[in-house]
Amino acid sequence: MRPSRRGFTLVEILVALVAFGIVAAILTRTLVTGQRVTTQQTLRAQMQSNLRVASFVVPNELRMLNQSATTDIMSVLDNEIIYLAMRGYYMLCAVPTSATSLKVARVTSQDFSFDYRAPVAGDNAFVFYENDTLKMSDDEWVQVSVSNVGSGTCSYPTSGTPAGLTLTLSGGGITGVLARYLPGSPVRTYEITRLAEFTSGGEKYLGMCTGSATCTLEPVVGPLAESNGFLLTRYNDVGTVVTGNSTADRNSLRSLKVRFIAKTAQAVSRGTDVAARSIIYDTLTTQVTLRNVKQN
Amino acid sequence: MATRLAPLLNDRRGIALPVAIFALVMIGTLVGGVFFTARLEMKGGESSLSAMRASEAAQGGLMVGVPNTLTWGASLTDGQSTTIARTQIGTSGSYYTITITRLNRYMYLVRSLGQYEGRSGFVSAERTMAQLVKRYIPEVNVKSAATIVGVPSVGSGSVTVDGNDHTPPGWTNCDPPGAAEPAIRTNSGTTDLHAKANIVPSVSTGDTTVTNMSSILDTLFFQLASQANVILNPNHNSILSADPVPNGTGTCTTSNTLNWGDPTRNTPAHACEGYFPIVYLNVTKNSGALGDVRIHATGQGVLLINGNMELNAGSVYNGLILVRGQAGKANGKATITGGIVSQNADLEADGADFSGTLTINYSRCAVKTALENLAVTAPTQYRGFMQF
Repeated sequence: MRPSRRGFTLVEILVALVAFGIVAAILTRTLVTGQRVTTQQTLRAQMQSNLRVASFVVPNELRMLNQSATTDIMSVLDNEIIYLAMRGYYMLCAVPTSATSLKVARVTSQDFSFDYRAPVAGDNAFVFYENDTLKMSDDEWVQVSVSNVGSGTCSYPTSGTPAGLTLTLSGGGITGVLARYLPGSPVRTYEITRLAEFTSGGEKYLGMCTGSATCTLEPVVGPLAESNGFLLTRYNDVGTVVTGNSTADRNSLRSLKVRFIAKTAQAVSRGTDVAARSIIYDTLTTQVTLRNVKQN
Repeated sequence: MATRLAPLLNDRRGIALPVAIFALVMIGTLVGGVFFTARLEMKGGESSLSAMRASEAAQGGLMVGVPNTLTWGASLTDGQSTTIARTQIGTSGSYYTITITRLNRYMYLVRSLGQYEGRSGFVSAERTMAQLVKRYIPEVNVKSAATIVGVPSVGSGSVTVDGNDHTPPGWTNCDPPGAAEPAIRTNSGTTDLHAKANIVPSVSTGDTTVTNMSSILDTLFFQLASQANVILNPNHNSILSADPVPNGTGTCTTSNTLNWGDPTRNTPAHACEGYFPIVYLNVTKNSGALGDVRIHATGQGVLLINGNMELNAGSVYNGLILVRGQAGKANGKATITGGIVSQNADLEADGADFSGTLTINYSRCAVKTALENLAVTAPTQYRGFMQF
C-alpha cells in the first residue's frame, strides 16, 4: 500500500505566498496611512484647540482695558503687552471715615460683588469717586493700594447685612472729599498682568504672568510660529496704526488686532509621500475694541 | 480517487479568515480613530460657536438693559436688584437674562447673562457682561438766580433777584446753603436795571461763563426736550395753568400734562412732591417765530420754553427754567426758586404791560434736585464695562 500523499504542491505554495504578500502590503499601507492621518488630525486638533483658547483668553483680558486721561496699558509692543487687569468688583458699604480704610461688600451670591479671588494685601484697586453729583465729567476712579484685608459686616444696603471686608490702604489712601465716596459706589481690584511671546524649550509660546511688569512668564498657548506668533497691531480712534509706546501713544489706542500663528507640536507627513514631513501652521486674528474708553 | 482526495480537501484550513478579520479590525479601529478625532474637532468648533453666540446674547441683553435701567429699576431701593424674565433672541437658541441692581441714587449695575442652547435644548455656553450705569445729569452749571444771554432789563417795584443760595421752603434733603453767587450773570457789558430793584448781592456783566449758556439753549435744550415727560404746543398768547394733581395725598397723576409736580412740602406729604417732570412748551407763531405763552404754574422740575415766557400771578416754581426767547413777568406775585436761563430778560414789574411782584431766588438745591431726577441714564464714562 502506498503511503498517503498529503501536502501542497510548489505551485500552491507560491500562489499562496504571493497572495499573502499582496494582502500584507495593502494592509501595511492602509495601516501606515491611517496612522499618519490620525496623528495629523490629532496634532491639528491640538493646534486649533490652542488657537481657540487664545482667541478667548486674550480678547477677554484686553477688552476691559480702560482708556481715559490715564491708560491701563503700561507698555505695549508688537509681541508684548503689560496692563492692569480687572479682577474683582465690590461695593462701598459706607462713606469712608478715613482716607486709608474702606469697607466693602463681598457677597458673591448677590449682586454687590463678584471676583476671581478675594482681595489680599498687596492688591491694587480703583475706587469710584462721585465728586459733584451734578456732573459726570468730574467722576473719577481713584487708584489705591491695599496693605491689609480684614473681615466685618456691611451696613449698606440697610435691607441686609452682607459680609464685608475692611481694606486698609497704604500711602495716603483715597483723595478728595470723603463724603463724596458714596455708599454703593464700585471698587474694582486689579493686578498687573503681562502677556508676551517667549521661548521655552526651543519653542515659542504665548506666556502670561501677574504681579509685576517683570514677572516670569508661564506658557498658556503654544507652540507658536517661530516669528511673530503673537502679534499686536494697535489702532487709534481713526483707525491709524500706532507703533510707539509712549504714554501718549498708549492713551490714543482704541482697538487692538491680535494675531496668533500656531503650529503643530511636531512635523507631520502630508499627502502620499510618507517621507515628506513638515510643520503645519494655522492663523487666527481677532480685533478687540476697547470698551472702557472715556466719552468726550 | 474520490476516496483518496477527500481527506486532503478536508485539511485545507488557510489563514485567510483570520487575516481578513485582523485587517477588518485594524481598519475599523483606524477609521474609528479618525472619526473620533474629527468629532473632537467638530465639538471644539461647536463649543467655540456656542460661546460666541452666548457672548453676543449677553451683549444684546446689555444693549437692551442699559437704556431701560430706570424703567425696570424704578421701584428699587438702594442695594435691591430685579431680574427681567429670560428673553429669547428671535427664534435662535440665544437667550439673555438681565439683572439690574440699584447701587445708590446715582448709579446702577446692569448685568446680562447670555446663554446659548444647542439642538439638545441644554445650555451649552454662558457668558456674563455688566455695565455700570449712571443717572445722566446734564451739566448746566447754573450759578446765579438769572443767567441772561443778552442785555438784562429789570424794572423797579418789587422785583427781587437774589443770588444767595436758598433752600426751597419746606425742603429737608438739601445740603447747607453754599456760597452766594451773583444775582444776575450776563455776557453783555451793559444792563438796564432799575435803581429800585432789589438785586443782591451783585451783577456779573461780561461774564464768560454765560457764553456757554448760549450753546445750552441750543444743543442741550433740545436734548432735554427729547426726554421731556410733558410736551405741550400752546398757541401764541395762550395761558397755561398748571397745578399738582391731586393737590394732596393719593397717587400722583403723572398722566395729566398740566401736573408739573408739587413744590410745597406740606404735612401730610402731597403725592406729587416726588414728581419732577421735564416740561417742554413749544410756542411758535404761524410764521415760525417764537410765540408768547403766559404761565400760571405751581410746579417743580425742569421747564423748557421754546418761546417767550411770562409768569402770571400766583406762580410758584422750584427748579430750572430754560427760555429760548425772552423771559418776562406778567401781573401778580410769582416766585421762582432755583435758576432761570434766558436768551433775553425783561424782568419788569411796573412797566406799562407788567405789574406785581417777582422774586427769583437762586437755589443750588432746587436746580440740583430737578436735574438729578431726570429719567435718563448713560453708561459710566469709563471703567464701567465688565466681562466674566
